[in-house]
Amino acid sequence: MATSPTVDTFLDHTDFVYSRMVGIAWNANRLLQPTVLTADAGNALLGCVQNKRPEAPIVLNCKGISTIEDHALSAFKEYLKQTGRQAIILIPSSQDQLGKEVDSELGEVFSQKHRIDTTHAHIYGKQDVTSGQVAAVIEGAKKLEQSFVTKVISESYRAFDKPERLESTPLIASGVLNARSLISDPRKFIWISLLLADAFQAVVNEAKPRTVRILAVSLRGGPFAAAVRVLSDTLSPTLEIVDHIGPRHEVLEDQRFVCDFTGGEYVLVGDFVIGGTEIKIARAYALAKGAKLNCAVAIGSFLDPSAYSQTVTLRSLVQLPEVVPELKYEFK
Amino acid sequence: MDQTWNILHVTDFHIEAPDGCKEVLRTRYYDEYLQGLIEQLLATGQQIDAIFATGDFIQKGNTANFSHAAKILEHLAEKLGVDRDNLVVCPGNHDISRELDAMNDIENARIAFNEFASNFGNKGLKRAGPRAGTLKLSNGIAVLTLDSTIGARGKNEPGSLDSDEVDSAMSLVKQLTLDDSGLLVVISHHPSGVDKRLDAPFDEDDPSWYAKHIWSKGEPLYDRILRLSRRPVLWLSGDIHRDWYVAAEHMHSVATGRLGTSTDAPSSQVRRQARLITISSNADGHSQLFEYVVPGHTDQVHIGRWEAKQRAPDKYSRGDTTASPVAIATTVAPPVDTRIASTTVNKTKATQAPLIEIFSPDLQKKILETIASNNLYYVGRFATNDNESSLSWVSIGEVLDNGELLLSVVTEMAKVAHQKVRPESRNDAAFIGIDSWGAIIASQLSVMTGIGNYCIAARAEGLTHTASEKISETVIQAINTKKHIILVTDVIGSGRSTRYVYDSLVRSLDHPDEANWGIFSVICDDQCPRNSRLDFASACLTACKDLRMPILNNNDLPPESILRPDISFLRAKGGCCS
Repeated sequence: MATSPTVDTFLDHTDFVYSRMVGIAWNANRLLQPTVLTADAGNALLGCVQNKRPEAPIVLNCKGISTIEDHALSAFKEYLKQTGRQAIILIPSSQDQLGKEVDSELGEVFSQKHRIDTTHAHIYGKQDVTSGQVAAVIEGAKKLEQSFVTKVISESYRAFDKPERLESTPLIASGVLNARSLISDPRKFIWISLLLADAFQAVVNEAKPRTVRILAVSLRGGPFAAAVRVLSDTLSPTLEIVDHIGPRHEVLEDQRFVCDFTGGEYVLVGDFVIGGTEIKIARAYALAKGAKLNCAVAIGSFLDPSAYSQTVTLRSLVQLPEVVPELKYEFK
Repeated sequence: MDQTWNILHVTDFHIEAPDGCKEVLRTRYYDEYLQGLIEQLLATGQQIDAIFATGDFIQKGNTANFSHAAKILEHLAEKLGVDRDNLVVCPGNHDISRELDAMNDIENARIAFNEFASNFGNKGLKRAGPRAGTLKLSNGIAVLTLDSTIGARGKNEPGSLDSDEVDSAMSLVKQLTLDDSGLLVVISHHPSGVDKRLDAPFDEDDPSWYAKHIWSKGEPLYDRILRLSRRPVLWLSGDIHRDWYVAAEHMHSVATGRLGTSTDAPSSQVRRQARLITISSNADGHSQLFEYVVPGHTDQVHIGRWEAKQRAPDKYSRGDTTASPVAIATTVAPPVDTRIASTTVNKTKATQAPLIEIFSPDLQKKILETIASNNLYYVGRFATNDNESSLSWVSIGEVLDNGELLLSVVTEMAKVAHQKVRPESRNDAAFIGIDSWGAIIASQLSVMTGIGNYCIAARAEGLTHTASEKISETVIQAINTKKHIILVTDVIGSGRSTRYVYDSLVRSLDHPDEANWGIFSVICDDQCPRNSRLDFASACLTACKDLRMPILNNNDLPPESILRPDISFLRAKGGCCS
C-alpha cells in the first residue's frame, strides 16, 4: 500500500531517479531507527516512485541500512511486477546478509547482479544492464548527491552589502553561510546528514579508534552530530554535546570539564570550518577529559583540509571556495 | 479629516564621561553615531512634529554632563528640522541630586535639571508644583510633563504621587485640552498604567522588578487621563531599557530602549533605540523602532548600524477599570469604546500553569530509571537566571546519550506531532528547537514529520552565540504565517528560556493571535509554580513530569559568596537597566 512520504528524498538524474533507502526510512519509519527498512518505509518508497517519471529507472542505495523487515518491500515488488519498471538496488559488498534480504523481498522480479568495486548492484526488470552501465549509474548517483549538497550549501550563502567582521574573530568576511537554513529544511538536512555520516564512517574506518564518540560544540553542529549518530547505528557511537564553544567561548555546563575522565577518541562533527578555532578548542576539551580528538567532519571547510592537518584529520563535504567563489575572508 | 502627528521618542542617554572613549554619545563621536538614525528618520519623508526625551540624560547625578546632553538634543532637533521649543524633556532618577533628594530637598535636587530643561520647550511650562507642568506646542500638541522621581527620596526607584498632585495635574490638563481634539502627550521617566496582569513584570524573575521600574503611584492619574476624553493620548517613558508599546483604548503607552550608555556599563540586552511614533486624531497609532545593531557580543559601537522595523502596539482593553461604574462616575468619561474591545487582541493570559501532560508512562519510567541508575540527578545551586536558582540539575546530554532514549523521545514526540498537525497543514507548522538539545530533537522531528524547524539559542538570552544563532529576522519571516508553532526544549526549569523565546517571537509576528503554540520537552516538573510562564501554550507535553526540580528565589538562599552556584548561566550577562 503506497503512502505519501512527508519528505521527498528523491533526486533527479537525466537517466534515472535516485534516493537512499536510509533517507526514506528515516522519514517514514514510525520509529527513529532509519537503519531498519520497515514496511512503512517500503510503502513510502512506493508512494514516491509511483508519481516520479514513470519511464525512468529507479536507483536505490542501501548504504546505511542494516536490515529489512519481512515483507517491507512487498508492495514495491508488486509495483515492479505490474509495471515492468527497472530498479537498481545498490548494496555495499560488505553486507552480504542485506543483499540476501533484498533478494528475498524482490526475488520474483530479480534479473541480474553486478559487482562494481565495493558495491553490489541488484537489477530488477526485464532489460539487461551491462556492468559498464552499472558503473555509470553508481558514478552518476554519487555525483548527483554531491551536486545536490553543493547546490544547497551554495544557496545558503548570503553576501553582506559590504564586508563585515566575522563575530569574535579578526576576520572580515564577504558574507555568511547559513547552516540554519540547511537544518530547517528536512530534505536538505537529510541529504547533508547522509553524506556527513558517510564521511564519519570513512574517518572511523581509517582511524579505527578504540571507542567512537561523536562530539559537537555548537548549536548548529548539534543537529548534524545527532543525525550522524542516528545514521551510524551500526558503529554504536556515543554522542556528546557541549553547550557550547564559540564564538564567545562560554562553556555553560562547565562541570563537564571536571567530571570523570572519559578517555577514548572523539570525532568532531561541525558545520563550517573557517579558521579552525572550533576544532582547536574542541581538541582542548577532549584533552581535558583525557581523550583525543584526531578527526573531524564538517559540511564545508574554507581551506584545504590539509591546512588543518596539524590539529586534526578533517573531512568536509565541500571546499567552500569551490562552492561559493565569492566568499572571501580577510585577516584584519 | 484625520490629523496625524509624528513624534520622535528618545530616552536614557546615561552620559557618564563625555570625553571618555567608551561613551557612545561622547563629544567627539555622537554626531557619527546618530548620523545613521538621522538619515533614516529623514528618509521616512515624515516631518517630525515634536521630540520628547524621557530622562536619565546623565549618569548618577553628575550634573556637569547636562551641557553635553543638551548639545545632543539640540543636534537632533537641528538635523531633523524640529524647533527647539517643540522638544520637551522630563527628569529621570539619574538626573537629580540623590543626596539632596534623600533629604527631601526636592527643589534643589532638581535645580540643574531644570536649568538644562529650560533650553527646550520646558521653559514655557505652566507648573503645578515640582511634579507636573503643561504646555501647548506651536503645532497644537498638548503636553503634560511629570516628574515620577519625586518621593523616592534618593532611592533608585519610582516616586510617589498623592491625590492632591493628581488633582492639580488634572486641572492643568483640563485647561489645556478640554476644548481640543488634538493630541495629548504625557511624559514621565517611569512607565505607569502598566497592568500587572497583562504586561508586567517584563523581567518576571525579579520579584521586585515592578516596584523598581513601574510608577504604580501614577496609576490614578493614568486612569483619570484615560477617562478624560476620547482624544488620543501618548504616554512616553524610559527607564526600563526595553521596547514596550501597548494601546489601551485611546491611550498609547510607549517605552523605548536607551539611546546611550557607556560601552562597558552593565546594561540590558536590548539594543540602543529611538522610536518614531505616528498617531492620528482617531487614536490609531504605530511606530518605527530604530535599533542600533552591533555585530558580535562585545559592544563595538563603531561597527554597528541603525536598523528600522515596524512596531505596532499590542492592543488590549482595560475593561476592568473602564467598565467600572464607580470609576466612570468620577469624571465626565464617555461610554467605553466597544469597537476597540471587540476588534483588538485580548492579551489577557491565563495566569494559571497549563496542564503538563506526558507523552507516555513507559517513556517517563525509562527516563526516571536512566537518571536513577546512572546517578544523573545532581543537587546543588544552579543559577539559571538573575533571580532564581534551581536546586537540582539533570545533564540531559548524559540522559539522551543513551541512544535508545533519544530514539524513544523523538518517536513519541513525532507521534503527537503527526496527530496535532494534519498532513495538509504541515506547511503551516514549525518546530522551534531551543538551545542544543532542543535543536537536535527538533531537527529529528522535522525529518520524521516533514515540518520545518528553526534552532534558536536562548540560554543567557543567546548572549554567547552568534547573531545568526539567535532569533533573527530570517526566523521571524519564516514563522510569521505559521498557524502551529511547537517549541522544543530539553529541561524546563524556571520556564524562563521558553518564555523568552515565545515573548521574543510573538512581539515580532504580524498576527500573533493566529498562531497556536505548543511545547514539547524532555523534562518538565509539573508541580513547579513557575510553569505559569508557559501559559501561552495550548498544549504542553513532556516526556517526564514526575521528576521534582525545585527552584528557589535567590532571596530565600544564602548569598552566592556563601553558597556558590555549581553552574551559572549568567556570567555572560550584564545587569538590568538603570
